[in-house]
Amino acid sequence: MIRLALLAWLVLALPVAAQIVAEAPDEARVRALAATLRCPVCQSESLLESQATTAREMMVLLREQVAEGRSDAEIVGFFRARYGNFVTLAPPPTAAGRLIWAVPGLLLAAGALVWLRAIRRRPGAAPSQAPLDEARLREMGP
Amino acid sequence: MTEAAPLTPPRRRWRLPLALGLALLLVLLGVGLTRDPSHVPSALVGRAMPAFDLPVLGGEGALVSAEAEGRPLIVNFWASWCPSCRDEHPVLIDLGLRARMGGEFAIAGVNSRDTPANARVFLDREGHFPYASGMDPRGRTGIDFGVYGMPETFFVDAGGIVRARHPGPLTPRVLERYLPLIGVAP
Amino acid sequence: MELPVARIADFALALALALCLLAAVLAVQAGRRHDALRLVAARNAVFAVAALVTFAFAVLIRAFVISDFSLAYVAQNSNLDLPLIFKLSAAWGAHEGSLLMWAWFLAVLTAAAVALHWRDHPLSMPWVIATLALVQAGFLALVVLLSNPFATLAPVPADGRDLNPLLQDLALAFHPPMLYLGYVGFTIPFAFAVAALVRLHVGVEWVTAVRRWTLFSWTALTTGIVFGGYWAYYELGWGGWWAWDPVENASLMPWLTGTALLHSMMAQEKRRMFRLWNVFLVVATFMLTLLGAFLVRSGVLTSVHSFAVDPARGAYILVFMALAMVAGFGLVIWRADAIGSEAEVENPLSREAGLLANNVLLLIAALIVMIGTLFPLGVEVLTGDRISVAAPYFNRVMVPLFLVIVVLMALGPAVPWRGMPVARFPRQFRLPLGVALATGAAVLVLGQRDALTLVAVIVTAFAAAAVLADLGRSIAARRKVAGGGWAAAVLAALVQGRRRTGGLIVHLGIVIMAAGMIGSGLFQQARTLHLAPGQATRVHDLTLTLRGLETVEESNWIGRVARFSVSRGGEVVGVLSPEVRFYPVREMTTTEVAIRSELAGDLYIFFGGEQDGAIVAQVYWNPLVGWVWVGWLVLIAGSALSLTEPHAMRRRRAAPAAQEVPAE
Repeated sequence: MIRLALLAWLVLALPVAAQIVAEAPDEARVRALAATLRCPVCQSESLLESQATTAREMMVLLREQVAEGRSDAEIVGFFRARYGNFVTLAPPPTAAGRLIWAVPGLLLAAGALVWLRAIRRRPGAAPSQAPLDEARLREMGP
Repeated sequence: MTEAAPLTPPRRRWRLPLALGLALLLVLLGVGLTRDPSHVPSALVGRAMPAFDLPVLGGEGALVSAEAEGRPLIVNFWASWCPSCRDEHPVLIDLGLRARMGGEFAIAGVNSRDTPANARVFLDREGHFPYASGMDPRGRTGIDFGVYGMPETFFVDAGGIVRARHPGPLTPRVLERYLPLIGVAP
Repeated sequence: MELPVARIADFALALALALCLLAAVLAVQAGRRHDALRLVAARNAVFAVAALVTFAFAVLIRAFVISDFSLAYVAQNSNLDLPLIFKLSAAWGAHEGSLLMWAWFLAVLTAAAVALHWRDHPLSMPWVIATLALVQAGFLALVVLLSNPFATLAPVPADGRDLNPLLQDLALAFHPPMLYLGYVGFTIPFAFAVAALVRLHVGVEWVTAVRRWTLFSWTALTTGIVFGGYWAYYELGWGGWWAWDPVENASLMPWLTGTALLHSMMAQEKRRMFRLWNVFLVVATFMLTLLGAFLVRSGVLTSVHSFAVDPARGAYILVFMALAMVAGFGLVIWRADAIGSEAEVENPLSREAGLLANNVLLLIAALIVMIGTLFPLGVEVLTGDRISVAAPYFNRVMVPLFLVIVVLMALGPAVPWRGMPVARFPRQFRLPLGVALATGAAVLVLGQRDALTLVAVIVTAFAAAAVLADLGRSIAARRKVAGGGWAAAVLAALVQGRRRTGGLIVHLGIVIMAAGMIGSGLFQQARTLHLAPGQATRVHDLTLTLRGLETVEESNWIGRVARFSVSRGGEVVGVLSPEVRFYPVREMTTTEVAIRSELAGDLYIFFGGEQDGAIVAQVYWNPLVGWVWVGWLVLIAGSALSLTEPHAMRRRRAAPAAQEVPAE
């Protein structure tokens, strides 16, 4: 009810042809980079989420560097040189970083082996075709 | 109701890796308990100190990092809004007096993410440093040094290489640990 | 006047702890000597513990309701101005109270399990009671010795510190209870598995006994996780609902193995298979709930969620977990030889092969989450360097894995036990495949080129069509067999085939959630804007106009509100009012996001701050995100349906499944 009243007030208040504002051109790239950098103060938030003063200043620096035309690698490197590997949310390009990226593949390979080993074919066990009936209904059950 | 005996011989190979994996997990977590997860090692240790050129707080001129060349340098980041900075204040004043008298090392402060007015109120209340502090209102110099908390102190040797970074307030014990690294007797 | 009650509650907890230890001893003795008297004594002790812990928890709740600040815990987490509903939720809002709630759930569910299964499982009961009593003792000791909510404060403060403003929220009030219900619920299947291992009766008996406990716990855990995600979405303001934060991961791990367990138990029921897998999975799920408790409360990992850190508590939980692991996994390893499976998986194109793949994939998923979460700790211990393994890693690695599991989920229910001829396979899935390819083509035509996104859309469409086709086939089969109309067939499916229909509905819910996750995860539009009053911006097909800014005052906060009007095609369709709030007592600033939810997606505004009369705002268009919450509702419905299947029907159903019915 209050919402309706507010709506009516807003509609009647000002027939302003609203000035459409668009996002700054580099902003999407800034946002993408900020999402991959960690706020060193809050530590569990990215630069994009964090409201800390240090994070905000880092965002300003980030915007400046994007505007200057630096590459993603250069910008990330800039922050890594100051804060270490901790400041990138993705694993760093070090030996440890490469190892963690390899883990899922290794686990999946092991899993595939386990699954394949468990499948044993008994010779002559061809599944038969039974007509749809009560028994099949039960079989299809949980 | 008992089940029939298994038709295939059991495979034991998974038991040892499972037991080892669990043991490893427990050991890792146990060691993890002894550590501080918020502690971040400095990326600057072993590398050249970032240069800075800041206006002096409450005075004229500039605080330039090059002026400390050839001598060990202690750089202390502080702010008026930081409660721990009050704790370490007496230690810093002692250090500053020592530096001024002996000249064996230099010490500089950086007032980071603060306003000159608040900083002056803080110093009037706690006591002025016997050395200059530079103004870093936006925290850019702090970012260059990789500062993530307040206060933080950097220990730089005579060759301009950062040897240690201490997050948190300075105490005599901390000085005992880090001053020798830059060639200063504690 | 207030003090004595708290002291009595404190004593009640200590007494409960003693009774738990007594119950465990009595139960073990009863089990070894088949002593019925001791077993009854143990049972009565369990009931007494439930009463005592309930009393203690009630005292804590009451202390919050009357704002008894003589208790330190109340003073730290409540405030005279706090609305009543949040005074209640503050009882479990911090470490000590939430642990007491965990202990309370344990006590009540233990008593319920003992009461419900007393008559049907007399031989397992001693070991079930012993296990549950020992787990309870572990938690009660932690509460009484290291995390006592009844610690007092003198002098008594006039007012409290207030509940963390972030926690003053309805969704978050229910998030811990649901989560803990899930965690605690899995303790019951664990206890039955322990009983089965000790007695070496690892047949289908323990699995049928705990099927509903497992489903109930899984549903509660899913709900807890969804509530947490929902809260993160509209409270934290970054437009997402899952950040791969260590504490979030801690709740996901038992959910993954719990899902595997739920399905794998089916194979043991129907075909006496996966006996070793099932005891392993239930022990793993229980251990992962303990690991979750450890990670959240020990302070080993940085997280937005962590409770106040105390290394003593962390050490205690670690020791408790170590003992539990040795006991649980030790039993599995020790008895593994005698367990084995009767039947083997013969056909790679069979339900059991699919379930095995399901087990493997979900276990791998849980392992990746665990290894990824703990990897930085390991690297730091070994090299001293701190690295991050966070959202970028998990998103890249887990999304494809989840897609494969969703495909399995789509295929599984339509593939019969013991196998189907390869030739029949494409015919069985012709419709879903067609729908999937058509959807993929449509998305391709609309300009989407990213491979992962395309695959995600195709997989989700395939799964949706497959689940609906399964439901349709199920209903059609009933109609053909029983005669009668479609309505009767639907009714029959809902009433007589509750497990299967309920399961399919749960799968449908998962598919809807998956669609919502893919929409909001991969198709999100985000923008950062500086807007002055009168200015507008276009997002999706909506126009957002900033009308003005105001200051607002409430009982325990004061804030700034930005008023937006939302219009589509020139017509105003709504109002959005994001806020920035300041809570004076805790000296905390929070933001309130404004969200407009539509079927196609959410318009989401985060008020970043003010700058020279203009506001800084993050604006998001999150396609289909509402489907995540709707999908959860569907999931709940399916689960409830499956849970209500009556016992008699289940016993009747179990018999035919034992026959060798060749599937088509």
